[in-house]
Amino acid sequence: MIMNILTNPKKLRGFERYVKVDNVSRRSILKGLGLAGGFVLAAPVMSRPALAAYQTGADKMPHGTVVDPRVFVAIAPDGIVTIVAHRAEMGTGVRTSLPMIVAEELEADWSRVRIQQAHGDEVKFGNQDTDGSRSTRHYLMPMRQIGASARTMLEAAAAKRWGVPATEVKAVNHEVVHSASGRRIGFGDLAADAAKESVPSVEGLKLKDPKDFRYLGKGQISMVDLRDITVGAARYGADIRLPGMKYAVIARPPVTGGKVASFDGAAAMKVSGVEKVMEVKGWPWPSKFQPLGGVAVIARNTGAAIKGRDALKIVWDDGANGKYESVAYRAQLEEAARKPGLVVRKEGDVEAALKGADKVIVGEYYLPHLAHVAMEPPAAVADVKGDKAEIWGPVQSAGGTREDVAKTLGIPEANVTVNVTLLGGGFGRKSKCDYAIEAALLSKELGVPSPSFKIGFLPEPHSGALAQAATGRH
Amino acid sequence: MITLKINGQQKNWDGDPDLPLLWFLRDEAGLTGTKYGCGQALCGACTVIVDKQATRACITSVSDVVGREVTTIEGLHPTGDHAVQKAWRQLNVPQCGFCQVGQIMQAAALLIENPKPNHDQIREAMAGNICRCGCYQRIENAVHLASTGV
Repeated sequence: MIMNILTNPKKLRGFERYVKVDNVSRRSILKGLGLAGGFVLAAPVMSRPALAAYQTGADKMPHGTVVDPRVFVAIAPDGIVTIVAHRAEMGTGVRTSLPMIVAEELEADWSRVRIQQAHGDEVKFGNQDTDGSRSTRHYLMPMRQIGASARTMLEAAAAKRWGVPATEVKAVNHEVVHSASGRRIGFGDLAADAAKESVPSVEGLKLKDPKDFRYLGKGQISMVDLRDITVGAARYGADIRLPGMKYAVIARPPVTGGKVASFDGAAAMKVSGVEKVMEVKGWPWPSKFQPLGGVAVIARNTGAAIKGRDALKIVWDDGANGKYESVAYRAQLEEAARKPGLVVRKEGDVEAALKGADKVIVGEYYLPHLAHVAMEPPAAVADVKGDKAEIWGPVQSAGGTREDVAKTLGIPEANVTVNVTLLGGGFGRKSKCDYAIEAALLSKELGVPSPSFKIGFLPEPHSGALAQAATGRH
Repeated sequence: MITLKINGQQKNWDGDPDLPLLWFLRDEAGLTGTKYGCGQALCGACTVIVDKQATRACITSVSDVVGREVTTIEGLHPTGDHAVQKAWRQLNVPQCGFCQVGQIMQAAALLIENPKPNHDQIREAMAGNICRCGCYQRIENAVHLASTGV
């Protein structure tokens, strides 16, 4: 359960003043992103000291809740506007809505906007950890400012070209218009000139009046992935295909913190299509974002790998959590919950109010451990060659995945590329990138691109996701 | 050697005849539109149409579909404009989208069997397809829209 403890919610407001918009056209910051076009804006949003007190369940995750995004806009000579979606799409629509905010302020014609998914790079893009229902709350204003800055620069470039004051021109639907003379120029024609303009200060930026919004709040724009989803062309973690890739399924410890004592893979090796059986490294409990370890079966297709996994004979050492028992644990929780708690906020006189109340309702609520059960089981594809790694996966935290894969493989972060696919649901489970690390370790070992599966909600003792949830791992 | 007919095309398979159709489609035939959710016919994400019936590809072996017509999302309509697909887009049904291919195939099979289902019949036919995002009302309305003309 995610709990928000706000000691002073007022402190959360007014963060806009930390936003600084930079023109990075002439820098190499976009290298590798492959954005087309001459006009590029970036908006690094500075860390917000006032938010240090903002506690959420995400605080314990890599990079905490420090918000430091950079978002990019490119306008090609043909007028196509490319907006980078730097956060992960898992059904919230954020891959559409954040770029839409930029397009709104930019006065871009949505039909000429393309979305490009950012790879994992928090130096470039800022925090990408799409978790805690934060994306729209935190990025509405930065995205508006990015769009408004780009629009202002396009207007300035048009005014210069016409030799008229900038106050006389206005961006309207992908063009800048000088109404006094009836002249108009498209965004594409202005892109190169606009890139030479200095970036306006945030303080002087003129944001659109919400009554003039064409897209925000209108409910008229569909998700950018809508068509792909309905024709089966949308790509999720297990849908990436690379030449020569193998498919792996891992039998994981039935108890968190457990490990393989011994195993016999002979029967698994006899399964048609199975090519290799190997033990995979696990991390000591609590393994946090690292893999649990177990035995991997590598095959020519996933079905063969699953059949092979089912044929494994594994003796597990359950470790300290082998004695875990949910009834006793519940009693422990109840006992703890009945003790006086830590007072986080105290306003008014609750005791007096309760004493004077006509009716007092006392209740205890209990939730068992629940698995996240995203429809899409955690899966990733990795291609590790030498000291370079490329990952494709449904990860909520692209930057965190990059960091953790680099750390685990012992290679520089700069050598790790994390491509974010669509997520078939995340629910916080996919903020943990253990499956991407598993894929990377397998690919390194095998020398071929390898996907790794976590099996969804199979009621089997070696179902990774279920076993973890049942023992309260997340 | 097994010969399958998938989206009107012959496909040969000389491996395990018990291989679930899902994995043949996804990993051997490259048809990744069909999704893997649970592997136990509990969620419906892997639904394809075999002859005219909605079928869970995760528990159907390749040998079970020999001599039958398998239709996946990739073969539902040549331009992706089946009435169900169009209705889905018109009503913005998907959220994360992962279950949607299975939902669409289940709905398409329903309309083969019953071109004008009422809402109860729609609910009954779609009851085995889980949507973790909770798009159920839009799913129901889209099936209705598809059956009444998009």
